[in-house]
Amino acid sequence: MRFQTAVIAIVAAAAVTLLASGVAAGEQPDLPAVEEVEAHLDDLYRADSSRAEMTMRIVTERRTRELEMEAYTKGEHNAVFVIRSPAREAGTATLRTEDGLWNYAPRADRLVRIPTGMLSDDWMGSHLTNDDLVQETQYADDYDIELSWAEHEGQRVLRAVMTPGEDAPVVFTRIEYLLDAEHWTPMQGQYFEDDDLVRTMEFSNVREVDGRQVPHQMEVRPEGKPGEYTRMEYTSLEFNVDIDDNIFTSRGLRRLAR
Amino acid sequence: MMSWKLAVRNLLRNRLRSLLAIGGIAVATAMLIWNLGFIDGFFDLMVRGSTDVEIGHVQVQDKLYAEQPATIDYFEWDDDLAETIGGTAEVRAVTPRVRLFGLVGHEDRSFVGRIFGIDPATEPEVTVMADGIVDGRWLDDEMPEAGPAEVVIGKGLGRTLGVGVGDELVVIAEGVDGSMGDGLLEVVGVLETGNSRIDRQAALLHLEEAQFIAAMDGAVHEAITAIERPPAAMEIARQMQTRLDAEGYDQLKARSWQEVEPGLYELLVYGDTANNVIFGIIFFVVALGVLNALRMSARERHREFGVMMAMGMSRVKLFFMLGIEGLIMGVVGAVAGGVIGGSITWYHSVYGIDFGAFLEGDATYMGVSFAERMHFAMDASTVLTPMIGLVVVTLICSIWPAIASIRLDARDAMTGRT
Repeated sequence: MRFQTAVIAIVAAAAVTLLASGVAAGEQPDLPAVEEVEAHLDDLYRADSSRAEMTMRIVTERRTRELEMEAYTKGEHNAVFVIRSPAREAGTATLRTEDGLWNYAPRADRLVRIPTGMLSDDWMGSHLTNDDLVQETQYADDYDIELSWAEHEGQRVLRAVMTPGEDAPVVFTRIEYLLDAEHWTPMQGQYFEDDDLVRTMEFSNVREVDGRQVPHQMEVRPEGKPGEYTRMEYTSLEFNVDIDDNIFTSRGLRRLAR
Repeated sequence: MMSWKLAVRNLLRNRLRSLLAIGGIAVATAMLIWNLGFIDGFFDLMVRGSTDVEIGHVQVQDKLYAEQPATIDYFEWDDDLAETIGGTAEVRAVTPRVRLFGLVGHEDRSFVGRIFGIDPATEPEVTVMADGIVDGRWLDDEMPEAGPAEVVIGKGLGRTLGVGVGDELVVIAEGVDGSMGDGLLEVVGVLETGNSRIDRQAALLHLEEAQFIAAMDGAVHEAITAIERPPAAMEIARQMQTRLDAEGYDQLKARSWQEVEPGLYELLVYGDTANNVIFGIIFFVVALGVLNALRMSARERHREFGVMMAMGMSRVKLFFMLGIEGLIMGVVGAVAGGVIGGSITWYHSVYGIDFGAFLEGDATYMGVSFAERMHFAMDASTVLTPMIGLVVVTLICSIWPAIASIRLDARDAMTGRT
C-alpha cells in the first residue's frame, strides 16, 4: 500500500483527464504540454483526499509476510498508514505530516520520529522505502518531466521520464513511467540510480474510482533479487472523502491505531 | 682475574669516556623499556576496548549470522548448549545475547541503535560494560513486573537523543519473522566504556524483553565467552567448535576475537613487527655509539697494549680484558637504564598518561577511545628484555676493537706505528 501507489494512481488518472482534452482520445500524436500536466498533477494532489484498505504481500528470499492495512491521505502532506493484521503487528502505524515522519509503536503506545537518515531504509521490511512515503508528494516539485510516445508490448504508450531537479532531496536519479495511451493509467515504473535500474513497479487490475482509472494492484520488484517482491492490492479505495484532520495528530493517530 | 682488575681500572682511568658510553647505553635501555610499556599498554587498551567491552574472547553464533549478521539467524538457548560452550577448557564465563538493529528514540528524535538483549547477571562476568556505568545503575537481575522495561544506554546515544536516567525511550525493531516489534523503556543507567560502538549506539535491555520485541522467545543471536588466556582464543575456539559439532550444534560457529576483529588482530601482529623494527634501529644506533667509544678507547691504548704484550701478556687475556670492559659498561648502563626506564614506566603504568592531550577532538582509534588516561603495561620482561638486549649488543661491539687490538704487533704498537 503505499502512498506511492495512491499517488501514482492519482497521477495517472489526472494525466488521463487532462490530456484527453488535448489529445483527442489518443488518436492525435501531439504530446500534451508538460506544464499543464505538472500543474494539473499538483492541483490534483492538493485537492485530493483518500481512504483505502489494502493488502501487502512481502516476499523475500527468506520469508513471506502478509499485511492488511488502512491508509488515509489528505491534502498535500498528510498521510497515515495503519497495519490491521497480523495481530502481532496490528496498530503499528506510520504518520506523515508536513513536519516529518513518525512510526507509531502500539505496544509502547508512543510515536517515534523517523530520522532523515533512515529515509532510504525499507518500510516495515518491504521493498518500499520510507523515502517513497515522504518524497512521493513532491514528484512534480522535485522532478522535471519529459513526455514522449513509446511502444510497450505492441501498444502505443506515453512515456514520462522524470529527472530530479537540482537540489531535489531524492534518492533516484531517474524514473521512467509508461502510461496507457488512452487513459493515461500507469502501467510500469522503472527507478534508476546512476543509470542502473534498481527496481521496477508493475501496475495492473485497473478499476474506475470516482471517475478515474486506477490500478488496484502494484508490484515492486527490486533489481538483482530474483523472486523477491512486494505486492500491494487495494481491496477498497475512495477518493474525495471526508477525513478527520485529527488522525494526522499524535493523539488522533493513537486512537485510530487502537 | 687479572683481566677483570685491569678492565675495571681501565674504565676508571678515563671516567668521562666511560660515563658517556655507559650513559648512552642507559638512555637507550630506558627508552626501550618505556617504549615497550607504552606499546603494550596501547595494545592492551585496544584489545580490552574491543573484547572485554563488547565481543568477548570467543563468541558463538549461527554460521549464517557469523557471515552476515541478520536477525533471522538466531538459535535456541538452553542449559545443554550453555554447558557445551562453558565446559570448553579455559572458558571462565558465558553469557547469551540477543542482537537487534532498530530505532531507539521518542517523539522528537530517534536514532538507529544497536540493541543488546543481555542477561544482567552473567554479562558482567564476560564483559566490563557494567563497570562503565557513569550515571544511574546497571540493569536489575530481574525484569520489572509492570511498567516500562529497563534500558541502559551509551552516553553518546543519550546525548544524541537528549535523554538521561529516568527518561522514557521507545524501541522499534524488526523481529525474526519480519514483523515490527516495539517496547517502552525507562533509562536506568548511562554507560561509557571507551568503545565508541557501544557508547554511541548501544541500548542494553533484558534478554527477555529483546526476545519479545523480536518474536524469538528462548532464542539468542550469540553467546559471548571470556577465557583464561585471551591470546589463545583461536585454539579455544577450535576446541569449542569440536564440542559443538559433537553435540549436534553444527549449525553454530565458534569464533575467536582474532577472527571477529581481524583488523585489530592484524594491527597487533603488524604492530609487533613494527616494534621489532624500531627496536632493531635503536639497538643499531646504540651499537654504533658504543662501538665508537670502545674502539677509540682501545686505539688510544695501542702503545700500552704493545707494552703489555711485550711484557708477556697473552693475546687471549688482552682479548678478554677488552671484552670485560664492554661487559661492565653494558651491565652498568643497562642496570642504570633499567632503574630509570623501569621507574618512569612504572609511574605511567600506575598513574597513566594523558594521551588525549595529543589528539584532536574525539580521540578514538578503531572504535576505542583514548580520551581517558592510558596506562602502560609492564612486567618483568618489559624491563629485562631491553636490558639483556643492550648488554649483548655492547658485548658484540667490544669484539671488533678487541680483535683489532690482539692483532697488533707489539713492536709497532710500542713505537706508535699503528
